[in-house]
Amino acid sequence: MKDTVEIDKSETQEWLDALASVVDREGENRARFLFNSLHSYSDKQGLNIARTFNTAHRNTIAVSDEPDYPGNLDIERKLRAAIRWNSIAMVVRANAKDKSIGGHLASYMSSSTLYEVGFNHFFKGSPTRCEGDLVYFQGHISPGIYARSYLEGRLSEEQLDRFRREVGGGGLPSYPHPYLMPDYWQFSTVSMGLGPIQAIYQARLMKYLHNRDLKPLGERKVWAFLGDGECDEVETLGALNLASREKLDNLIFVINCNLQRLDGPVRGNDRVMEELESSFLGSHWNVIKVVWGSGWDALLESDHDGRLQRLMNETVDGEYQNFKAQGGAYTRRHFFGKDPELLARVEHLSDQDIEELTRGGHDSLKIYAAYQKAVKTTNGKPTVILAHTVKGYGMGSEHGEADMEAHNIKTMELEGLKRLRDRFAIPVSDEQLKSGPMPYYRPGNDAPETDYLHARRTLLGGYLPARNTDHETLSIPALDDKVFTAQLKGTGERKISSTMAFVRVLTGLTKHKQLGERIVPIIPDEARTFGMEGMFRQLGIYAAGGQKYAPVDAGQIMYYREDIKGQILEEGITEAGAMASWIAAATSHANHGKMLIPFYIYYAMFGFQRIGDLAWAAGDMLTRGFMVGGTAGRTTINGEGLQHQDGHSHLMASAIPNCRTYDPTYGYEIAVIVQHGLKEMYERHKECFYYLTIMNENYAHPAMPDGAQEGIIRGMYLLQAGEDDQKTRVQLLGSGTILREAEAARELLLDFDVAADVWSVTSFNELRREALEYDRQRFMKPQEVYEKPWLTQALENRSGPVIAATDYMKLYADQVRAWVPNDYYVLGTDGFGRSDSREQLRAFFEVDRYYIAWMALVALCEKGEVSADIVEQAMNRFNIEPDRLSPLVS
Amino acid sequence: MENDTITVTGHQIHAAPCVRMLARTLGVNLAEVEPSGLKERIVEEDVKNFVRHVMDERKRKSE
Repeated sequence: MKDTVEIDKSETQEWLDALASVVDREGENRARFLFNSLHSYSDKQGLNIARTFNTAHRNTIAVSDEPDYPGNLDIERKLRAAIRWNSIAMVVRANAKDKSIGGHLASYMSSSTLYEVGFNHFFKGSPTRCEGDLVYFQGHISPGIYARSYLEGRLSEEQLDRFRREVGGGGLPSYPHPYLMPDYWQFSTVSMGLGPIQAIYQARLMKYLHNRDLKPLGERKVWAFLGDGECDEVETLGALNLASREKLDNLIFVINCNLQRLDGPVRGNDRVMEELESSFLGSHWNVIKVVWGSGWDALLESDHDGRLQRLMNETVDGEYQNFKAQGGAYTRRHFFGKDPELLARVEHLSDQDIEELTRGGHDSLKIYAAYQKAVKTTNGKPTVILAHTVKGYGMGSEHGEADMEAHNIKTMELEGLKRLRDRFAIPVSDEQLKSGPMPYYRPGNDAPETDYLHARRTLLGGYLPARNTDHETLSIPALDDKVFTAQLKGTGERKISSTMAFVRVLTGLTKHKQLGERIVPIIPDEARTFGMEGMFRQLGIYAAGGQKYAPVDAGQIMYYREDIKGQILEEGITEAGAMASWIAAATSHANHGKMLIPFYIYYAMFGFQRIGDLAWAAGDMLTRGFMVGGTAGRTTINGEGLQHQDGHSHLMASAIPNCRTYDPTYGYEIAVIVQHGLKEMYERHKECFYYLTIMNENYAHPAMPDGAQEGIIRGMYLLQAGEDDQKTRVQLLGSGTILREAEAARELLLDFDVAADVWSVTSFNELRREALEYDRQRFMKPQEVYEKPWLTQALENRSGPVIAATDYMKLYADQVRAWVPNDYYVLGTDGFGRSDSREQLRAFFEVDRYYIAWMALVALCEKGEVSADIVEQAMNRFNIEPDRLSPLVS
Repeated sequence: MENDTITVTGHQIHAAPCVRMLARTLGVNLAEVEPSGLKERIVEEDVKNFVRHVMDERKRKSE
């Protein structure tokens, strides 16, 4: 580029000298002021003189500004060596027994020092496990964390030997999974990208808890460790602006820039650190680069003409990878050798010396300086540390270090092990290496390393990772509490949507004396769609900076009220962010010792379909709370069309084992489900969370029929019994708004002298889960007698074919077929949605009252209970067109 | 990053770029100029005064 070419050195010199003199005489602040003045002048003139978001490829912290290191470097080196050794041993031993087990060595090797400086000097623990720092460990380095816990005596050799061998209990999961180790891991950080976005919203939740006087923040920090390759996931960088906007100075990202991902370099032809630096600076984060280790200090100090720096700035990551893979002689020739002057400057260094010029992310002093600065900086910004490292560091250049396939290495040859042993000075003989599996090494109880290890952790408050499992128990109001009673009584003639019924329950909960402050409504925009805008004023929208403007609707009753003590988390248009926010709130009991009751209310279509992986992780993290899919149902949110019409979220939700799902129709069903959910999660401590769908169609809600409560929870109950005097009967099953079509079909069938029992099926998913367990028990112990599944019990004494209709794909209702004790017919909304009236859409998808009634008659005809004439009569009366295309393909 | 090859040398002297350019054009060594600005900053007038002073001296000597 033209503007980077030097055309007048003396002019450049004048400007630089002038700036230097300002810094020298008047200080940094004055220099910054002048710089800003230049910028604003150029902006005013409309000059396109872009601000740069990059600094040279060197450490942000000058050598002269590095603090003294407070630790014992020699002991810490020995500890790191033992941890690295054991982290390799556990993977190698696991794969010696079974090559398919897998595991990753190289990621931890590249980040060991980054973690260890944290463990020895920064990460705060606490006896309650709810007061210290929260550390999001990068998922692939879990062997290193297990290896440290082994040295600490928290994990045994037997447990290490069960790495990735978990069946039967007592094993260690491949990656951090709270579900599998609930008193150890706190956060699911795989798949990649989930850790960083969760960490951002966790740090925000901690500010929220603090500002709402629910839990003081104190000095607590959130540390998120991630990889440079991981930054290509949209979740990783997608919420950076939220972190700076919310002034999350309690948040520290540490990005391990080892320049490699599984297939190859992250940015072979560029420098990933440069790219990340500009992204973070542009998002107003503090950026601290840790590029070079102390070995480079002297070379950089004597780089008076900037030649070395220029070379560093111009070298691309693919080359940097090569230097570490090929060793010292290669680096001399191909790095320093690019400039004869630089070659001369390293003449006094041996090839070995050059090989040992380390990257900053392997140097405790440089890392300590960076962490210290990150912890002490109080400018209201989050901080990222970009640490330059080598993938597979320490494994040796012939045995995986910086190798193109480093990420996949999980075994080591004898020679590699010997070299590793020598490098880490592990007291293990050649014989031991040859004869058996790679042995573990733990320094004795009286070794200085062991003392040091425990002393550091004691000083910092306790061991990590550790998850709190001692949760507070909330007292949940009974169903006859005023929170729920209005819904149980019904609305009479008044027509409201199930969304409104839900919002009334939610509002009641926020007003409840004991539970009120714990309710956290989370909305990714669209609160007005759900009729929740009344809450804006009542509860306030959380805003860390308060409200700095008079909202345009200030004069109205339901104005847009932002408040530092606001209760609602209005996330704006980010489903991933809102879900991460819900996860943070839904695990508050485990991380903060404060039980929260979060309700995440969103457009159903943009739930599991959009944030499926986060929802899966939520299950893993043992979240407790409610996900509420609004404007649900393929034909019910009629105008919005193909991309908005949800006809499958229940199927997606059913994939998550501890997610309990409901598709209620009436207000009392919602009240019963919510009350039961609260009791299960917060009183009985069941590790599950709830998903319910709510709709925007208005209709009258009846009072709860007697005895319906158990059925609502278990998945179905008899809503309306058919006339007793009719011999010809059918069973109509419906859920959501389509239940009302089944009720209407019942009326239509009376004209054909057919009686219909109408069942409200609140959850086909729950019915199936229960039935599956019934089958399993039956197969396991066939000699014993079991109570039949709820569904079978309900239908077995009723006569007539069974017809189910929902606003979801046919598979949703079809999933219980095996346990229906009669002929079973299913109607559903398979196919792409489209815009039209509800009536048109329900006819199009063949789920309206006419199709239900007609299907019932066809079913009876097949049984010989009504004649073919009747079916034809019905077809004409209901305008059924047998030749029309299936909605699945039209 | 091109600027990395130029190292800052004259930071003992406090002066704005335009003053430095003026000094360079006139062949004035800023180290000899008496500063009048705040914190001993050399301003344009100082360079002009310096030149005027040198010229006056020469005139006086030649007389």
